[in-house]
Formats: sequence, C-alpha cells, structure tokens
Amino acid sequence: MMALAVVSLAGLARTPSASQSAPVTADTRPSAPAVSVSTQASSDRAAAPDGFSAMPRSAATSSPSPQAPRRTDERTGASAGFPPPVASYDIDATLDPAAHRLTGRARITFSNPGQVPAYSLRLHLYWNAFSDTGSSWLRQSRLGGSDTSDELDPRDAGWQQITALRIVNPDGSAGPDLLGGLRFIQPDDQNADDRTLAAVDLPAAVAPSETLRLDVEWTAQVPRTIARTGVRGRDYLIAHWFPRLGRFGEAGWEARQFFANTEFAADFGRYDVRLTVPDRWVVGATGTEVSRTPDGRGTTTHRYAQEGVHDFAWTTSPHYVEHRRTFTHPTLPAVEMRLLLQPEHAGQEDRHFSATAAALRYYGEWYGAYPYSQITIIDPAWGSGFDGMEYPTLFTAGTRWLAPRGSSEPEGVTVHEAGHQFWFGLVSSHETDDAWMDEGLNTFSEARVGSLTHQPDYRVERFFGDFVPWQLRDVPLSRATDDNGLDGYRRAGRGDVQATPSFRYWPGTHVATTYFKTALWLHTLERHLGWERLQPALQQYFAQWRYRHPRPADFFAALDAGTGQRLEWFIHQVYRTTAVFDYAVEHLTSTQVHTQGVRAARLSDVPEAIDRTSDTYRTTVVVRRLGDGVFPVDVRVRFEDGTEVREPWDGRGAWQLFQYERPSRAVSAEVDADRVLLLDVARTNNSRSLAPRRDAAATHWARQWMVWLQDLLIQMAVLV
Amino acid sequence: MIWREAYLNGWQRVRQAPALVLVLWASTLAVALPAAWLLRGALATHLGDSLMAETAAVGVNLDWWNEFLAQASGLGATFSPRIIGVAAVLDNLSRMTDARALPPALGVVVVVWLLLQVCVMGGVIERVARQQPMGRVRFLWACARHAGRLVRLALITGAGYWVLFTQLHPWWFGDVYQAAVHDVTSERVAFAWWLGAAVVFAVPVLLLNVVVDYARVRAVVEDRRSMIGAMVAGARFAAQARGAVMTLVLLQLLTLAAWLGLYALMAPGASAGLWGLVVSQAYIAGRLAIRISGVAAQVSLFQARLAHAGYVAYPLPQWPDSAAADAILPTPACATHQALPGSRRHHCSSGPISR
Repeated sequence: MMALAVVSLAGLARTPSASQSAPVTADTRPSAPAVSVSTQASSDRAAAPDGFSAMPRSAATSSPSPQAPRRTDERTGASAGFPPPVASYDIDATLDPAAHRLTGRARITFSNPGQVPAYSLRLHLYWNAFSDTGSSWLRQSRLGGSDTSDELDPRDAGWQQITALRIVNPDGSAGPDLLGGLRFIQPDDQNADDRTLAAVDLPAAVAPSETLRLDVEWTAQVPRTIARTGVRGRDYLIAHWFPRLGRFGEAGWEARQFFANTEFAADFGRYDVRLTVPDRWVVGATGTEVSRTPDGRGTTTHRYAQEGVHDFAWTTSPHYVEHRRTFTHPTLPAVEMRLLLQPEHAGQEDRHFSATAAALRYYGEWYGAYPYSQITIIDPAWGSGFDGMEYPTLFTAGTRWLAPRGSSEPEGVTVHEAGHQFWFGLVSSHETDDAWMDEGLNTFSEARVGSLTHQPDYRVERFFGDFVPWQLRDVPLSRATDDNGLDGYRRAGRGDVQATPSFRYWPGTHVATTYFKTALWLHTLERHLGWERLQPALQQYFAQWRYRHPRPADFFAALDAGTGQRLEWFIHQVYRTTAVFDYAVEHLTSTQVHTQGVRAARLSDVPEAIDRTSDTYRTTVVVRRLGDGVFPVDVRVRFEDGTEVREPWDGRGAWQLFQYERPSRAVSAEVDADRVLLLDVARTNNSRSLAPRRDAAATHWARQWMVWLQDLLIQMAVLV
Repeated sequence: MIWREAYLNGWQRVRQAPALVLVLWASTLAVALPAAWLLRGALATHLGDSLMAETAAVGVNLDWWNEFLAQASGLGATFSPRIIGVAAVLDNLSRMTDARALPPALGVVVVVWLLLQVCVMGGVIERVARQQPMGRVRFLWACARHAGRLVRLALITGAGYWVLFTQLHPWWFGDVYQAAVHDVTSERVAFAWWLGAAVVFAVPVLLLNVVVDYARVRAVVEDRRSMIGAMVAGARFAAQARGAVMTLVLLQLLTLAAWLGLYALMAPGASAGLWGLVVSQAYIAGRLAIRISGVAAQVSLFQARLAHAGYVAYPLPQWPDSAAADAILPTPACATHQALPGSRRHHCSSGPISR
C-alpha cells in the first residue's frame, strides 16, 4: 500500500489572506531520498553533493567564489531557503535539429499543496497553440491586429503530443496507464479547436499533502517562432516545452488555456534535466550545469538542475559566444552571470552585464536578494522572436547590430527581463489571471532602475527596412512618462478594468492595461507617499510572498500594511474601474481691483458714486476635474513679484475656485504642479499662463515640419 | 569625356540661371507654407495657454508632443519627432525605399506640388537648353507650352511608378526578400540582403527615371507632341548613350549624397531658431540646385550627342511691340532707318529692332 506522505508546511505556511477560507493542515512525511547526480564532471567544475547548487568555477574574467552547497531539509527534501517542491520534473530530452523534433520523457512528482484532493490532473501543452489557426492563442492574436496569425504554414507549425502517461507506484513499478483518459478541455473560451490544456481523471485522488508520481513521454515539433519559443535557422529557444502540470491552488486546479494576452503559471519544484544536442552546440538553461557528457555519436548530453523554480527553459545554438562575469555586492549574494551572445553583437557584453547587475543590485536592495547562484542571459538571434522573455534563472534580452550608446537598447529589456526573476520568478503571481502583478510591478521597477543607471536615454528612430538607427539627441526619454508608458496608457487606458482576468483583456489594449497603467499608478503612489514609505511595503510584500502565489488582494493588503495607509480609495479606482484622471486649470485671470458704483461711507450716509482702481490685483483661478478619477492635488499660483501660493485640493468636486488679492499680478497657475498624479492623461491643460507662448511654440515647430514637408516634396518630384 | 563635360556644363547652366533655383524654391514654399500654417494653427490650439509652450517654444517637449499626437488627425498626425533635423531627410528617403504610403492628409499637397513641378519643368528645360536669358514672360510661355504634354507624360510615368511601388515592391520585399532571409539569424546578413534587394529594386526605378528624364528633355528640346513618342525617343537615347547616361546618374547620386552628408553635419536641431531656418532652407535650395543641374546635364548630354549647345527646336517667340511701347522707346540707332507710312514707328533696314 502506498505510504502516503504529508509534508509539513509549517515553515512556509501561507498567511491567510482575504482570498483564503481555511488554514492548511500540517502533517509530516519521511524525507525524500537524495537525488543521484552524475559524478562525471568537467575539469573546471566543482563536484556537487546534491547537484542543485554547484556553481562551475568560471574561467572568465573574474573569479567567482564557489557557493557552499545548500543544506537539505531532511523533513521536506527542500534545500534551505527554497520551498518544498510541489511539481518536480526529472527530464530527458533529445533535440533533432534536422527535423526540428524534440522527444522527451519525464518523471513528474506532484505534492498536493492545496486543501482539497486532486481528482484529476491538468497538463499544459502550450505548443499546440501554434499547431493551427484555430487555437485560442492565434484567434486572440488576430483580434489584436497581429497579421502573423492569418496563415500558418504547416512547415512552421509546432505541436506537442503525449505518447505515454502512467502513474508510478511508490515502489517504482509502472502503475495505471492514463493515456487513454487524456482529453483536451477548454474551460475558458469553449473553443473546441484549442488543444493547449489537457485533463485526465485519476484512479485515486491525491489528498492534500500527498504525493503522486507520473511518467510521461512525448514528442514535439519545434515551431518556427510565433511567440517566445521555437527555432530560427539553428538557433533554438525551447520554452514551455514539456507537458507541464497546471498550478494547483488552495481550492483546486488553476490552469488556463494558452492565450496571446498572457503567459504562464505553475508551482515551484525541482528540475533535473538532461538535454541531448549535437556536439559543440552551446546550451544555456535554467539552473546550474551539472555535467556535460559526449556520447560519441555526435551528440552531447548537458545536465542542468535547479530547485525552487516553477519552470525550465533552455536554448541551444552553435553560434553563441559565451561570456561570464560575477555580480558582487556588499550585502547581496554573489551571482554568476553567464551571457550567451550572438557573434555580431561582440562589444555589447558590457552593456548586457551592467544592466543585469543593475537589476540584481537594485531589485535586491529594494525588494530582496536573488537566491540562486547563477543567471543566464540569452542574446537572441535576429528575427528569432525570442527576445524579451523571462524564465527562472534565464532570460532573453534583445539588441540590435547597430545599437547606439545613450539609448536603452539593450539595457531596458535586459533590466526588465532580469527583473522578472523577482516579479514572477520568485513572487509567482498568476500570469494568466493577474498579469499586471508581475508585468506592471516590473515595468515600474525597471523604469526606476533605468532612471538611475542609463541616463540620458535618447529616442531612436529606425529607417531603411528598420535596420539603420538614428538617435534623436534632442529627444531624451523620461521615466515618468516614457518608461512608464504614459502615451500607451493615454491611448488605451479605458480598454479594460484591470480586475478583469488578464486573459480576457481586449487584445489590442492589454499591454496598456497590464504594463503601463500599473507602472503609472505605482509611480503615482511613490510620488504621493514617498519612496521611503512605498519601498518597505514592497520589500515586505516580496519577503512575505516569495515562492508563493499571491493574488491582487494579497498585494493590496501588503501595500496597506507596509505603508500604514489605507489605499483602497485609490486602488478601487485604478484596479476596479476604468476611471481616467484629468485635472485642468480652466480659468485664470488677474486684474487690478476696480470698484465702481455707489457706496456709503457710513450706514447713515447717502451712497455716493465711486469709481476707483486700487493697486491690488484680484487673481481668480478655477481648476476643474475633467476625468472621473479623483485624486488630491495641489494648485500653485505664481506672481510677478516672484512669490507663489500653493493650495491643496481634495480633487473630489467638479471644480474649485481660488481667489487672491495681492499687490502683484499673477503669471501662471498649475494644478498638480509637482506632477504627483502620473495617471493624468492630459498634462497640457494642467496649467495656464497669462503670457502664453503658444504662438512662438507653434511657429517654431511648424517651421521644422515645413522643412520636412519641403524635403518630401522634392523627393516626390523625382518621380515625375 | 562627354559625361564629365555634361556634368560640369550642367552646373554651369545652373550658375547662368540662378533664378531657376529661386523659382523652384519659391514653389516649394508656395505649397508647403499654407500646410505649415494649418499645422501651426492646430499646434497653437492644442497648446492653448499652457505652460507646456514654454519648453516647446525652445525645444522638444515630448510629453506635450505625445499628447498632441494622441488626438491629432490629418496634417497633425504627420507631426512626429522624425521631422527633427536630418531625421527628416532619412525619413523621406526611407519612405521611398520602404514604399511607405503617403499620409492621406498630404495627398492634396503632394498632388498640387507635382502638378506645379510638371508645369514648371518645361520652362526649366527650355531655359537650360537655350542657355540664354528668357525673361519672365517667355519662361511662363515655355511652361504653359509644355505643360499639357508633360502632364500626359507624368500620367504615363505615374502609372509606371505605381506598378513598381505597389505591385513589384511588395512582392520583392515581401515574398522574395523574406524567403531569402527565412533562416537568417544575423542582422548584418539580413541587412546585406536588404541592401541587395534595394539595389536590385532600384534598377527598374532608375531605368524608368532615366527614360522619363530623357523623354522630357526630348519632348521640350525637340518640341515633340507625342509623349509616347518622347518616351520611345528617350529610351532610345538612353540606350545609345548608356555609358554616359548611367555615369551621369551616378555622379548626380554622389553629389546628392555629399550634400546630404554636409547637411547631416550642419542640420539644425530642435532648439534652432531663425539660423536653423536659414540653414535648412539653404539645404532645400541646394537640393533643388542639384536637381536642376541634373536636368541641365541631361540636356547638355543630349545636345552634345544629337544636336548642338543651345539647340531648341521651337524658336523663342518674338512678339511685336505695341504702339505705346514704340512711343516710349527712343529711336533705335541703326545704319538706316525709315518711317513706316502713316506711322511714327521706325525700323532698321539692317535688321529688326532689338531691345
């Protein structure tokens, strides 16, 4: 009889949040047996007792200090600092580059982390999204205006097919075959053509804290990249490539179909993966390389291992040029950085490393330390479509052959994707339902890092087939507006209520809602509360939810607790409505006080005519709330004598009047002068001047535009 | 070398007729200014009394700029940061190589401009062909005389370019180029392919351009009525003198590239005031001078090979003077003169009266 083991979760017991209803019942189980590792190590690698934390001694420019092996918790089998595994994978996979075919087999170990039994399993087969144009992914992509999904050449399609699926008995013998009961389901959109989520009933339920082992075999066709994963030429980025268990929450499976708007969600676990690829092809993967074994048949097996992660991605190509550096910091752990660079980007390694180091440094200082010993940076091949994506301990950046210094390519995407190691990799929010929780928080953080490390950041335009860059040194980009995506938000901010599950966002505007709106309201909070209040709140949130799966309510509760403020008045507007913020100075006049009419000097006197102008100026300012969003703002009025007045306004009413009588005439009035409210979609109407320079500005820019037009006309004249 | 002489002669003819550059430059202003005025109004309306204008008046205020673009339509929608400095030139050149459609709002402006160009070009060719001053009246006469024919020619060539840019270009860069780079993973290699594709695509464009240019020259210089005939004649000449013709084309392109390069070094930035306007208008005038010199070089080459310098088939008109003009003008000095009966007019027996 299968000995059921229940893992004590006391060490990582979830703090009940508003979204939870019952506490976890803790039990104990015997420790899992130590995983056997290959003892064949190359000469430059230290043999690791457990295979999960060894860091190769680098032959690169700096000398990494080898990290001591982590202690393994005998009760949970987890290494110190890592969570008990929920879904672990022991995988063998072989890539056939000639046919772009991948075959694999895996042993999956699932420990039910929830509070209800698991009567069935959910398995993601993401690559089936690229098998035909009927998939939900491609349908949604078409709605968003993508023209890549109108047709799909069968030679470019990808798919995954499970060829064997059986339970493994506790004694290791083969258990019941589940393949016959495997079926595709479409719980999110009822699209019968979508085959990205499969379900199979279990002969016996897996009770909370029980463990189930499965053996699965599959074959997959590597697609020509449509999104994030695939092949171009001989460059492979293999992501979400194996039949992966869905995430199991407190109340059961939380697995979604695969949609274009969103990404992935899974449970933490251990990965021990052996990848067989042609000899001399460079491999980069999640985790640490444990061994590299040529088999004498023209292929080499690379073994990688990592625990405390919820995904495993890898890349291979004969073209990569490898570089290594070590990130060091007085208070943060050292991290080995490994860069796989395209040959034509030689000379850009410093830019990739400095951006990665900036992310590790600032995210580490602000939120919490990066806990893994290594990080791999992939420089994707041109046209591959792999760029700008994150996986645990590995991410793809993205640069160009001609990438002018002084612009944020590749720094911006490198910081962003490295930052996802924290928001998504460690704090594993649900990307399909709550994509804004990692993308928005990360966009906010990335912009903050950028403002500290790569300034100025000039806008770049590309010409001649999008190949030739031209840096506009008159156009510096700013964190507050450009990096936060204000323009994108302004154009599409009303696309969806942010609280809508992300996979249901309108495809054409989901980026604005997910990335930009979140970054803007977080930055607004930063300006409103001060970074010294917001940062500790984010740090506490990170510490509390690392290796866990927070929901929006958890994040908002952490903000309230960490800042000591009740922010519901703001969160409700930005998260649960599509309220748009727009404050304006509607009226500004400043004239000498002129009194005319009749007035009696005393009550008993007969009124006499008066007509006098005093030396005093009456300044009248009317500010108006044009949007439906409410935010406290201030109003600043400046006077000719150099003085100014600041008035607070709670921003609730439709308008507010301010009047002053002073010896000096006013020159200007501004609402939200310090630009705290970054969500204000129309900044131009936030101010008025009594000596406006609109004519000078309009003339200046009409002149510039006219030269462009004249040049265009001369160009066109060549054709007649 | 005949092409060298033609090239130098082309510039000489421009120097002899600097007013042509002025005329073309004024025509760009005549078309561009009203459009710029309209845009100016839209910009001013959007800025209102805002303090954003303070920074926008002296440089880039990207915040306001993006806000303007988000609500702009028509001409306003073309107001992008690509208009700054030499980026404007790159944008326009790239528009052609990438076959990017013209913004619809500019359609009317461009059509008016092209019509104006077509009409003026007859006078320009006649002037550089005759190599003598024509005066304003005769210049306008020449423009009017050739306008109808050159419009017909422009329609034919427009059809040709339409086929090239809307049919050939998408196939060449969409299907053929994409197939060539299907598995290319190096941007440098892909760019090399793109350059190669652009050069190959440029061949039919250049060929059409050359044929049309010489068709235009022959239509004006030889006073041809049939534009199809002019096209055939232009093609025939270009084929016969292909070496000199293509060398001239290359020289013109190199001259243009040098001028663009110079502008790239001196192009005014976003903060440039009136001085920037002067520099940019000098650039525009220079481009027009290069264009006219190209036309003049083509005329010179044609005249050198098939005619003679100064040859134009149709003589310049000589209009009789009015009686009032006669009354004002002094008696001409000539060997003999006699009064016409019943008239106060005189004429020289040695030849017509000249002024």
